[in-house]
Amino acid sequence: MKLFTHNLLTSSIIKGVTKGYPLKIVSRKVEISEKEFNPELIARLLSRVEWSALCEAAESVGHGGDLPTSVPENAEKDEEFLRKAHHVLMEIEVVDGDLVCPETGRQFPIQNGIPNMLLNEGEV
Amino acid sequence: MEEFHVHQVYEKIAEHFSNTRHTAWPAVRRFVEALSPGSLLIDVGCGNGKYLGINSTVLKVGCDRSMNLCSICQSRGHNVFVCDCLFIPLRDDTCDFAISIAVIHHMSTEERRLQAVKEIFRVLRPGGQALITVWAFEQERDRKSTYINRKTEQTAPSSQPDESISHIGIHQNRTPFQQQDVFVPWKDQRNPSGGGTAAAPPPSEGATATAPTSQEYFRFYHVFKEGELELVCQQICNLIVVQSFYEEGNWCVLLEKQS
Repeated sequence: MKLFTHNLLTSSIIKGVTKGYPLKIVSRKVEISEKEFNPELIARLLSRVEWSALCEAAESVGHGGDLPTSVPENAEKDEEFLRKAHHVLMEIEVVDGDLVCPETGRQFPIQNGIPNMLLNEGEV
Repeated sequence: MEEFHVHQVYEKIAEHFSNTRHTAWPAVRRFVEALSPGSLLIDVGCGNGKYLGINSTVLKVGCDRSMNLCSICQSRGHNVFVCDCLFIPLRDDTCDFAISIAVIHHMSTEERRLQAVKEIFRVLRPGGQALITVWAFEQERDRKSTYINRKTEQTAPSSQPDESISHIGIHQNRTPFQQQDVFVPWKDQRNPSGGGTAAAPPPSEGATATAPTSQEYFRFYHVFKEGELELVCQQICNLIVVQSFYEEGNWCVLLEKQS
């Protein structure tokens, strides 16, 4: 699971949950791999990313050090920033771990890099 | 219904199914290729990730009910997660675009089919568009149908041993549909000793979809009639049907969320 994917996921589909975003990450195995850097793509993606949730996620998997707390002005022209964003969004893979609902503590397992967001009968 | 005649079947046949799903439907390919760079696309019911590899300028995420199919996507480098399409774990108004190709016809009731479209609609941002395709009841509308094999002799549909699902016929592959709710056989080609020509009827509710030694599976389908998918869409507020068309045995709707 890339942090880009994590940035989209919520547990508010669970019946009664109002604050399901962002999910906490408990990671047991994290892999880093180089992915082709496309500055335009990252620049456009920024408007769809919840930046604070991304920072929190990066921090929780041990790769948060380098990120500014907010998206800088003219980010789309700031290559250094875009590279950092690219790295955090696309190059960190949580292979094994859990996603945790911030409201209920309910865990969704991540195995082989795939989050399992299926709900139980009582949750729908 | 879907647990035994959709979910379990796809888990068992995932690899074989994936090997038969390599050609993109033209309308879907065109749709994905035309999306503006930097958009976010979700593929609801992404299967083996066939559409996740098209158009590298678009950010794509897929979801499927089958862990085995998601694993195939993951191994191909795609972003995926497992979920039920009636409960997509995304916030409202998140995606620029969505596709749901040959998925909603697996929902066994009208209510669930509506819920599936509503869920796709919910995660679209205002102004966003979704392309949904479903298998058509009418298979020979445009002569291009590669599904019907005219040499296949049509036999009367078998009836069910279990009364509660007795209204669902076993469809004979490559022949015109006789009714809208059907079980469609799938022969698992990995088992050379299996199959034969006699179809094993689906067991009654409460049992698994296959007998232990059988290599034939039955998937539930509700095939859509002309206009039916549009009628489902029209029940949803702020949904505009932009285009509605038939392509190679499928009814397709391009819808938009009003901004």
